[in-house]
Amino acid sequence: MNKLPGLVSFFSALLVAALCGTTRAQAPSPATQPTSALVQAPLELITHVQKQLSTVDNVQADFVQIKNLVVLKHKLTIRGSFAMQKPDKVMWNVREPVKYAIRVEGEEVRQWDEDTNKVQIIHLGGDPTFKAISQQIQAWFLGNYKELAQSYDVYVLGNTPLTLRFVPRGNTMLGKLVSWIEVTFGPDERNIDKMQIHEAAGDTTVLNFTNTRLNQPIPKQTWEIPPR
Amino acid sequence: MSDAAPTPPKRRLWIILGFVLVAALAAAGWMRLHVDSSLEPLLPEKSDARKAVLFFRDSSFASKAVLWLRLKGDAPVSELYEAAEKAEKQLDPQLIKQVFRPPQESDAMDQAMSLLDRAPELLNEKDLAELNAGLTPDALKKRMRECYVQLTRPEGSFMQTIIRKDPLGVSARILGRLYALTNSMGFKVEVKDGRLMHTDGRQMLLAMETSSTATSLASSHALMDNLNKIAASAPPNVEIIPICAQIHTAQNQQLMQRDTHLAGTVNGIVFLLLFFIVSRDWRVGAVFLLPVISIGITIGLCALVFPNLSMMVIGISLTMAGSAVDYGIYVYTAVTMGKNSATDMRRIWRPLVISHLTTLGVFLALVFSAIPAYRQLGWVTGASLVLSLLSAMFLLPRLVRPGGKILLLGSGMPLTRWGKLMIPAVYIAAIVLAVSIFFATKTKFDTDLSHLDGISATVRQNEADFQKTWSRGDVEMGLLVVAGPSAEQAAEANDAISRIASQKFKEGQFVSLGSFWPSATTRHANVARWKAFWIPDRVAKLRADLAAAGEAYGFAADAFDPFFQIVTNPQTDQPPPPMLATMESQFTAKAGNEFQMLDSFPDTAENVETAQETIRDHPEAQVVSRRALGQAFATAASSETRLLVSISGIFIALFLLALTRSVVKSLIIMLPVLMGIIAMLGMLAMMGLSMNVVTVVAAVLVLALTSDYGVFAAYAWDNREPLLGQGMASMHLCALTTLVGTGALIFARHPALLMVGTSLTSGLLAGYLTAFMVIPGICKLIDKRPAPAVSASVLLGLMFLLTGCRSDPFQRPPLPALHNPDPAQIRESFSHATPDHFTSDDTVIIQAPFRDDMAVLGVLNVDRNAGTFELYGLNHLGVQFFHLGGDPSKIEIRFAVPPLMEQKEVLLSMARDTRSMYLDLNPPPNSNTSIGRTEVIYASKTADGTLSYEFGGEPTVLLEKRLDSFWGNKWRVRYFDYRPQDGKLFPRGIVMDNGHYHYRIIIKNRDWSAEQQ
Repeated sequence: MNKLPGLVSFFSALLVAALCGTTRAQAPSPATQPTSALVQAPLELITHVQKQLSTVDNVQADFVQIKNLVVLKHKLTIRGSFAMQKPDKVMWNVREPVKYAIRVEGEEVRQWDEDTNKVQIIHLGGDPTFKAISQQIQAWFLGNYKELAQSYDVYVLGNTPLTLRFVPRGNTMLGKLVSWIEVTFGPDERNIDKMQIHEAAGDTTVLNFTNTRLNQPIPKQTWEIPPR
Repeated sequence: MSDAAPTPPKRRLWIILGFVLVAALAAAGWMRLHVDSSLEPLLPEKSDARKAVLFFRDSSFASKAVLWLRLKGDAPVSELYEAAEKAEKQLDPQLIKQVFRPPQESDAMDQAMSLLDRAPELLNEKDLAELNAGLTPDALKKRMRECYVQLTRPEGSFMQTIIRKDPLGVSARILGRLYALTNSMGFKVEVKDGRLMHTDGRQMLLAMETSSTATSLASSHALMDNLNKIAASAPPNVEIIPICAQIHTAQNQQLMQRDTHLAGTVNGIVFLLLFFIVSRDWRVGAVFLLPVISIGITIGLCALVFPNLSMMVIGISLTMAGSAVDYGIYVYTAVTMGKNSATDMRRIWRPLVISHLTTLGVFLALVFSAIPAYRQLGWVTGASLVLSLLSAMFLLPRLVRPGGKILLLGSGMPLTRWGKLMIPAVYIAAIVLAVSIFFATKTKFDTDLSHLDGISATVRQNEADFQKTWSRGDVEMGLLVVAGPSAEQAAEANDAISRIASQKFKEGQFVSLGSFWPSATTRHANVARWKAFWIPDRVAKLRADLAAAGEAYGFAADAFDPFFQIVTNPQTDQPPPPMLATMESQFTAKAGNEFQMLDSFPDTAENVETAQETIRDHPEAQVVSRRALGQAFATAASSETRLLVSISGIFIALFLLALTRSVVKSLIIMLPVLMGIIAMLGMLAMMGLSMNVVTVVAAVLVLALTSDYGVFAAYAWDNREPLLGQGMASMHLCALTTLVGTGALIFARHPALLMVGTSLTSGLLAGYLTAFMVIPGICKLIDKRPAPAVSASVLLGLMFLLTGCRSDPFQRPPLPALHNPDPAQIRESFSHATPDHFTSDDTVIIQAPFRDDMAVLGVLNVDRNAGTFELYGLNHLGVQFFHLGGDPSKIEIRFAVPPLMEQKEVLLSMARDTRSMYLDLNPPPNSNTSIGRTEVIYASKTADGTLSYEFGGEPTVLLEKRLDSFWGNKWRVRYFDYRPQDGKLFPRGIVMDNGHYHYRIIIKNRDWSAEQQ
């Protein structure tokens, strides 16, 4: 009784606009955000990050995602790997606690889970959920930070390693869902080592990326669905 | 008919009074006339096509318009927003009721999530049954696993709210239905900053509700101008493209106006040229004016009965003036050429009336149509044709000067010679006919009305680009419209139909607002059901079971409290979410005081059929889609065509047979019609065009006009006119004036007018050429001896039957005009001039179809006083072949060689013919007489038909004697070359055509002698 595609599609389609879109500067940041003690990221820094990311054609990494969700009594730890190849190929492979994989390639989405052991093929045009996910991942890992800076107030939390906090601007849907997103870059600012999402409801998600490999040949089997 | 003698004053007074009365009535009609330019009268009553078009006319659905804004190059999106704001300010508030504003995405998210709180209202009986099925421990365990897996996915964080409110995975289908609704709009639209944006983020739509409908010309023009002005003033980096149905209306009207002006100018120039070149007689103006005046009077009179006359009816009536002008031309040429208009009119009344009735038959058929405009057309055009004919027959001869000159009129070679030259044309025509039939069978009926849309290439391209850019798929959407007197009643009716539709349509094919947000009545029923279902024990059990099932995955004890809050405290009668107002603008409409719910489905043949089946017993519902509309028009056009063709065919056949009294002549007259229609269809197929509603009307006009050509040509042949004689010249003029008008439309830019121009020109040209070349050729062919090779062809097989059209072995010089002929005197004189008792030696030639001619020597003895005759047939050696004889009571074969006796019936027929040729040569004293310019005709009714005698020449003698029945000539005998001998006159040549056996007897007299009494 998986009714999710329709459900997720609806708001994910809205979400993607807020996450990736280039919106006009509107109202000032919500007063609730702890901005007073933080330093606004200068445009040069954002330009620098973008320039560094632009040298990346593909990324492979393992991840550990720790979710602190109100619905669960314990922290949910998710392990897996991901790969990304410009311009539009993304693989997200969850190994624990359940096996699940999703691959987005151009307009085609393939997903698999161990419970059903079936590969579901969807076209992005027909379901904006996966388009939203694909765009989010690409936006953060390979995206245009100058454009992101139009949707978020960007603050510098630390320089070594470089850590930026993105606070959604205005009364947007993202602002209602997410309080801020913190991104910690690798040593040369060409990859993300850590990403924290603080949701408005109090839940948190921390993503730690390890074993990151940039611009290295991606083995063919990495893209296989179901994964080996 | 006109009379050369002055009209008696009393009669004239009555005529004037009658005319004044008719004119006064017509004027009164004009005072109350209202021209209806809408499509409504053109739609068959109680048809789906009518319902669909009226929906577009009346519903607010059809009043939507869109401005499509797109960024050029790398311009920032802020410029797009600024352009949109500027455009919005430029919108004319008189024309634009409102601009649709989607909710902010942040609000949309809240509203979407809040819908889950309204599950008790929005989940139906089936949903609840499925929910019940998911309450077993196993099902709950499985469901908790699903929820857990969802949380591990990339989108998992955002799923939490939904999972908490819907652990059973049933309520979320409300959001699925909402998504299906947004998807059914068929556009790649995302809401961003309260704007309708394309997924590429660089294009947006300004969707508007206008106060203009596509059926209103004036407001469509105003709206198009306003939107075009906004587009023209777009900032340099933004392109603004207007998209709306009203542009179609305005552009079609502009294009039609341009084309009709062009056609009118060309027509005017040609008429002027004709005037100066052909006649230079101002009276010719009456030929063209009388039909127009007749139509003016008819419209006035018909307005007394039909106050709302269709614009199309008036347009076609004026076009049919072209056919009415044919009468005038025919009369004008006859009277101008002649010296006595009364005599001329007597001579031409028959072809004139035949020409009129064949056209009238078509329009009388329209009176039986299910289309109101067609019925109006039948009455208006029929009446105007009658008036035009009457004015041509009674008024025009008084205006035209007899003895005038018309360029080349009366000149040219004899038609018999022309017919000989045209024999090859008959064979060519047969080939062309075969080829055209081949192509005509390939003609299809085009149900796509967009092919008649005269929008500009730019607008067409814009719409194609719009569809490509914004549409989710290739298939257009169709609508199922459910109406009700109030919004709630419409919603209730829609709920009922949606329930049926959900069972009949394939899953996902039918989308209704009711499936997401049903009527208040249904929502109340849902809540009541929900409350009845969630009894405390069931709630407590579920809470325990859910905790147990979720334990394995670490779900918190209060994880699903939001769900149980909904279960125990269902919302009722809360205000609808604000997003519903936006949704309603897409899925509801209003037509007058009627509320409409708009359900949608992909416009495929299967879905249209399913939709029609769904609403079969629901008169409050209708299917509106391009495909359904096309089908409805095709059905209507097909049934109308069948009706019109059948009834007009019957009318025409009856009229022709009644007036020509000859099946053969009727067939000849209709030959141009056949060729015209077939050539028209063939031409359409060759050009890759299809039949449509326009060509059906064109076919009717071709039928009406080309039958005139057939009448004129057939009678021209009968009268042995020269090539540019009165009949043929009239035909040339009629065809020329009509073809110029239709030919001008070949250069039309509007596809419907181009279609009319192509159809009419090809049909009329083929009909005209057939009348001009093929009819004389066929008549000549019939006159020739049938050869076996020729007889093999179907065409000539027909020709052999055409005895009414044979030419004569004897030539008759032009008949002199008769001066004050006295019918009684003529009878008397002729009676004295013919011998009562004589013997003649003749050469008798018998021609029969499919047989060689047979020539015998004939010895004839006739006693007119005793009423007896004897005819001996001998071969050249004097051997007797047959001996026929008769008296007033009987005819008999007195001898015949055995082979001839096998054809006893034919011999008896020949005996009867002999009696007809030589006895009863004087018309009965009580005969009706008709005096022509060159002839006097006596006619009397007999048990076998109408017996006619035609006298003419100087001295005035019997020229022709015939017996006509309903099916044509039973027999016809003509007398040539009377020569005087012993104070008596005797014809040297006689031709008898037998209409029963289709043979001809030619008698060449060698010698005769009167017997002494």
